[in-house]
Amino acid sequence: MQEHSDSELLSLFRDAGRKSYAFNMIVRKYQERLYWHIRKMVIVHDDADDLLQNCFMKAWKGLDNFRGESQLYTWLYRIATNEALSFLKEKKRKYFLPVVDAEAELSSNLEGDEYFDGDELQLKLQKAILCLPEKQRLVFNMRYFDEMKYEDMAQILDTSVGALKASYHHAAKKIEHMIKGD
Amino acid sequence: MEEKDNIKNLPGGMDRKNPFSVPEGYFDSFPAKLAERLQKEHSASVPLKSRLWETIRPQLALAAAITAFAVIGYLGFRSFMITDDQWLSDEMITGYIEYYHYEFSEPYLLGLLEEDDFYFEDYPADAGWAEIDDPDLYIDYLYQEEVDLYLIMTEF
Repeated sequence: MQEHSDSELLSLFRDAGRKSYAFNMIVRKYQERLYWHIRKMVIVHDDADDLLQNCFMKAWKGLDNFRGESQLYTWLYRIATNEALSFLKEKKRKYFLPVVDAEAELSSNLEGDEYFDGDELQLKLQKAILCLPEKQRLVFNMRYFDEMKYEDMAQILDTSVGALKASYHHAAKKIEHMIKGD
Repeated sequence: MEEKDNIKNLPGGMDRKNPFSVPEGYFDSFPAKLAERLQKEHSASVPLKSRLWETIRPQLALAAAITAFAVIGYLGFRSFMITDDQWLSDEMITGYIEYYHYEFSEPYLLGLLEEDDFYFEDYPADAGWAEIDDPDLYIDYLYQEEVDLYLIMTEF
């Protein structure tokens, strides 16, 4: 299937008769990237699936007002990031989980997850990542696994490139320390 | 590059391979699942006022039908059960009112004194109390019968 550029998809979306078709194309183009972005944050597939749906629902509602001031994919990433962070925050609030318990729960989910195919080293790395504060975890995942540019990350997370570099540096050091000290 | 060095500093064997997986066919079926949910939400997003009206309209229609049926039934039942002779005529009502109005009046007392022979011959027997409401007639009658009015007034 031919992959349209973002500007082509947005033009199609603004054509009332082809709106659904264009949105379907957008979903197909970005679903995997957004799914993995969310999944690495919430770990459990079912949660990631729900959040991905919510993310695209919001995109559907908001796309009419999208003026193209940012790229489509950074806009979608921002929605997905907010969904994941809100979900984790709500989960802690709902179950009165302190930060440590929340991390322990995510680690436990990871071990029991039938859709985790990593080896022991990868499990160790994921557990170390789960010990990071949420926003540092986000930065680490986006840079380490998705290899996203700092400039794009800065747009998505609404912060400066310098702050992101520092955050990633701290995250990598912590993970290294945790793995070596394990 | 500092960040590249950081990544390389991680222990060996930890590549960037994604350790997670998804159920088979998940990404193929996701757009259809999402489209279905969008369709459902669109149906649910019809304005609340309209949805409320759609919900209560059949109930209102049923309530109106029951009310109309009850009213028609009541009116029909009433007209069936109450016959014409049970309705009070205007004459009867007037008669009752007149009767009680004059119950202790002079003509009534005179009537009692005269017992059955109270009516004037000039008046038809079915004239009723309303027909003898003229004081002059009583006075004429008393004069004809030579009744002492003063005596009546003092005695009664």
